[in-house]
Amino acid sequence: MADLVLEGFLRKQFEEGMALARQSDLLELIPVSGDPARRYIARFRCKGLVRNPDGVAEHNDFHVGVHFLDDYLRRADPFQLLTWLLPPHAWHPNVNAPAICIGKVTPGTSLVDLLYRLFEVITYNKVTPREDDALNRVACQWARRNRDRFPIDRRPLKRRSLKLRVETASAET
Amino acid sequence: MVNPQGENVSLVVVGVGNVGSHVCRHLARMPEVNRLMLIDKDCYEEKNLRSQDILASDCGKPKAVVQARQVRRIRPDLEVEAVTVPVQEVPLGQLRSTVILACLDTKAARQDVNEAAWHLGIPWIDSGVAADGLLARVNVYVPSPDAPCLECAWDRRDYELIEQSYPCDPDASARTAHTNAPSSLGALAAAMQVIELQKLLAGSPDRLLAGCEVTIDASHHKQRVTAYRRNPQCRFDHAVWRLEQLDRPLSALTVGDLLDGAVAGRIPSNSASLSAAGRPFARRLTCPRCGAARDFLRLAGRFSRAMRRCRECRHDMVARGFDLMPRLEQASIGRALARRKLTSLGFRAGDVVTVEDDHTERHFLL
Repeated sequence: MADLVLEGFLRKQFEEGMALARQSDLLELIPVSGDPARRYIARFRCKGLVRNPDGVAEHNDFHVGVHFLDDYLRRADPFQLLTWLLPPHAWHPNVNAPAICIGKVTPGTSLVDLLYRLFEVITYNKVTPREDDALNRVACQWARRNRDRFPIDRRPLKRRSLKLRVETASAET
Repeated sequence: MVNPQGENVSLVVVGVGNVGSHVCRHLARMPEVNRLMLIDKDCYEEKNLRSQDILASDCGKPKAVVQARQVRRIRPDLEVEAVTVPVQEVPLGQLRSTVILACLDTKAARQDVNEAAWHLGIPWIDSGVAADGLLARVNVYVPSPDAPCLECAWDRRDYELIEQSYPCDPDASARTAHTNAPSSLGALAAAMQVIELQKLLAGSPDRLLAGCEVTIDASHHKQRVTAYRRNPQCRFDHAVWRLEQLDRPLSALTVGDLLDGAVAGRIPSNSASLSAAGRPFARRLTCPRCGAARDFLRLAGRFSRAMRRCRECRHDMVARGFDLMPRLEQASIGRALARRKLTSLGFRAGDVVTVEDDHTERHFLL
């Protein structure tokens, strides 16, 4: 039966999330199931890293699943909330598919907040190379040696609007 | 009045540490109590000797087992059960009792007890201590849709403080700040908690603390009583469930039996769905090491080790968050799933299964 508090929350997340995706050149947000949507695939077309047979390489298509369960406003389990979907061999200290760690998640954290935090992780805008809390320790050691390369992508998630007014100059006669 | 006849009082105590170990002594001395269930997942450690009512020889032993033995020594005829798993792992129906007493030190576990008590419609008494200010506190909650619950008084900050383990730091929740309260403070909170229990059982409405909190500030010799109100924006749904018994044993029940109304006695509807008191179903296991996946429908957290083992690399497989389903929907399940036994999905005796459609919601005790 309907939980009105949760439903209101989910509708708001849908509106805000889709609005962010519209204002972004780097994010596509795909609602997968539920009305209002409970599961999304967030597709980031920003630059991040993957591990290929020949080494660490840049990549620009990352898929993360976001799933709001019934009690998300009261308890958040980051394992259940976020799923690293693609590519399977992402190269990041905080990613080991299917797990991705964006740190502690307060219950009821907004979708937009989650999307920004995911973006910061993928693009290495935020990276703390500490082996004791890394999901991928080898990537963590690598990250420590390559700090000068970060962030991998400096573009903002949300398109900057310059709001320039262009007026044609009319010559005074 | 909780217990009009004064008979068959059964109590559940969740947590038998600083407060709970003292509570057990008092409960063993209440003749009206017939049955006790003591729940605690931890073992006593040497440092507990300073703060909890235990003996040096109890160190290293499961807390619930130690306290059950102590209670039996005081009252051999009392029926006592020791449960050594976290409270959220105990099937909801097994927590049915007259009153639940929570003697916990985490917000997360209190939330679990609050939810269980409300769904079961059982009063619960919370207790807490703060060593810094020498504070001891009890709260009495009597579930109804309009009564204040634990979370009615919570704001964003409280939700931020819920203990959580997250992928980079899976042990974070195990490292919660220990209360480190002296034994005397735990004993004070325990005495307050049992006094409120006795009033609740005696049914003296004018002295009842329902929906209220009493705090004793022992350092300033002050007492404070706070009355709470139902918060319309509370994130918890406050639903009190009426549990129905099924006439068939759990071992014979299938998903279809419940969804098509054969046992539930309701009109089959395409919008019907089945859920397990907040525990989601996983439909696939994935290996974090080699990426192998296996379709495997079962309640999340109810996979045995053998089920989780990856056939390719023998690593432990996990259920991805994206592969969880809060409920099984009639419209999307096939005939094979309808024939599946509930036990094969990980249901246990004492679990509560909810069958709902757009208009009704029914809860069955397995």
